[in-house]
Amino acid sequence: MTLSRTSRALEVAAVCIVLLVLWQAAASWIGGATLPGPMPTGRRLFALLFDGRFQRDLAATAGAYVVALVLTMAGGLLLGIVCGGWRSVGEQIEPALLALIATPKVMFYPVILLFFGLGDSAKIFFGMLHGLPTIVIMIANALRSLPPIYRKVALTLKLSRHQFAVHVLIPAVLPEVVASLRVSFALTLLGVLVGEMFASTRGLGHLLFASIGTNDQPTILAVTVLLFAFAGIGSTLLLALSRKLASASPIS
Amino acid sequence: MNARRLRGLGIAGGIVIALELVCRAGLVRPTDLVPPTTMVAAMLRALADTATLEDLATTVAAVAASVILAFFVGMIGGVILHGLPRVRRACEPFIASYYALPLFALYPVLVVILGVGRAPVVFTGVLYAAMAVLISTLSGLDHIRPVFRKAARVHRLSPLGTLLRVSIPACATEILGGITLAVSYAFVAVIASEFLLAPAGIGHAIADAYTSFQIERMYGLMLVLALLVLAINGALRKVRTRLGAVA
Repeated sequence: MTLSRTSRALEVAAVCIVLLVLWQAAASWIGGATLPGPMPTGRRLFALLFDGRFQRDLAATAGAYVVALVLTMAGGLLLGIVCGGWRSVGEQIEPALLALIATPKVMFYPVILLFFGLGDSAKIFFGMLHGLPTIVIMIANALRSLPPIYRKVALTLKLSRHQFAVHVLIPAVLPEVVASLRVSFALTLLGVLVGEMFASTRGLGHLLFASIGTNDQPTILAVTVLLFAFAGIGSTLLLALSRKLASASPIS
Repeated sequence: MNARRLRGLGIAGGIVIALELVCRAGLVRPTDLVPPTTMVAAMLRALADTATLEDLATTVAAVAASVILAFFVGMIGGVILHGLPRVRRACEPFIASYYALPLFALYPVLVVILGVGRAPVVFTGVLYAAMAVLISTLSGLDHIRPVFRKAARVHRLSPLGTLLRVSIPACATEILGGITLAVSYAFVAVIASEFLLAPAGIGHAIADAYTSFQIERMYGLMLVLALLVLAINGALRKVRTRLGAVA
């Protein structure tokens, strides 16, 4: 087990090294001024981390992201339970949400700006707009695919509604909730960043957009690498957790 | 089924009428939201304009180019990874987290490398769409029945012959399913890129209408785009359902 885990870590490290080598080769080919290599990007990222302005941008994005993620998960769970629990409600809401998922949501940004103005509320709403529809569909599907035998057992054991929720429903849908957290983790970050690019004067999205204006390639790449690392590591950890829960779940 | 659809239409109609009344009653500023009838009129006006039609054509061409490139990149990538199980295992965490990455953050870098124009837009579209094709190719190749490979061996097909004449046709349904997903992804990426920096396309036209305070035109163009995306996604869903039925 430990050996296979070590060999997996080595394999992932090897892929990372190959990616870095490819990046360096591309940087040498295109030219360091247009595409800075891994070393200058790493140096810029290190310098940025100790820069007061960057820390404020990071804190602004992190704050908006956490609020958006909490609201997305809470709203998604609530609406998902409503859609999954009441078929007639789900039938009306879900097609609209499915259409919204496949729509390029960035096209709504002028409308959101008109209603929310520049600031945190616009980017938080943007984050929710990206994350919420998928969560609702996932939770509603998880509730609908609950094996009927669970309800029958609960009825046989004469469980109260509260006991059914705590001992049957929540453990049964927990893997799907963690899976939806993983999806919203990524989508909400995307939404907040897009919101910051257009509708904010602070945050990493705004810094990216401002760096385009000043043609500051090292900063663009440093912020991109930071975001990739955060999204990649967070998503991998949540994937591992959701797989662990799914394999432990009685449904599987 | 019919009653459900009728109820859905009734609810949608009710929302549109309520929106119309709210706007006409002056409860929202006309600079924030325009009545649905005005949106439709603005949409028709926009569609009568050749510039809008050119923008639409530009966007659709970029999506088509992205999907065609993504098809080749994704399928070749999928075939190579399937042939190298150790490399595939090492890449799996990256494949699983791929869509969690804010790929559009690379757009500014692409603009500097490829220049302002259609190239960075199409490249971003390929970045988003290719992984859907790659994942579906891998899944398709995983599920090929062993008898197909045996038949290929009996006919003494070369590895390339097996791939082109047996493996890929055998998982065509999965790959086609991946392509339908790739179209949606490419659309999202192309529109987002057009909003950001591109000099043309329907996404650019909406951003342009907004920044020049042409709110009616902005809503009209948004309606055009929303209807286009809904029509394409509806058609893709039908294709996926039919593919599912065939599989």
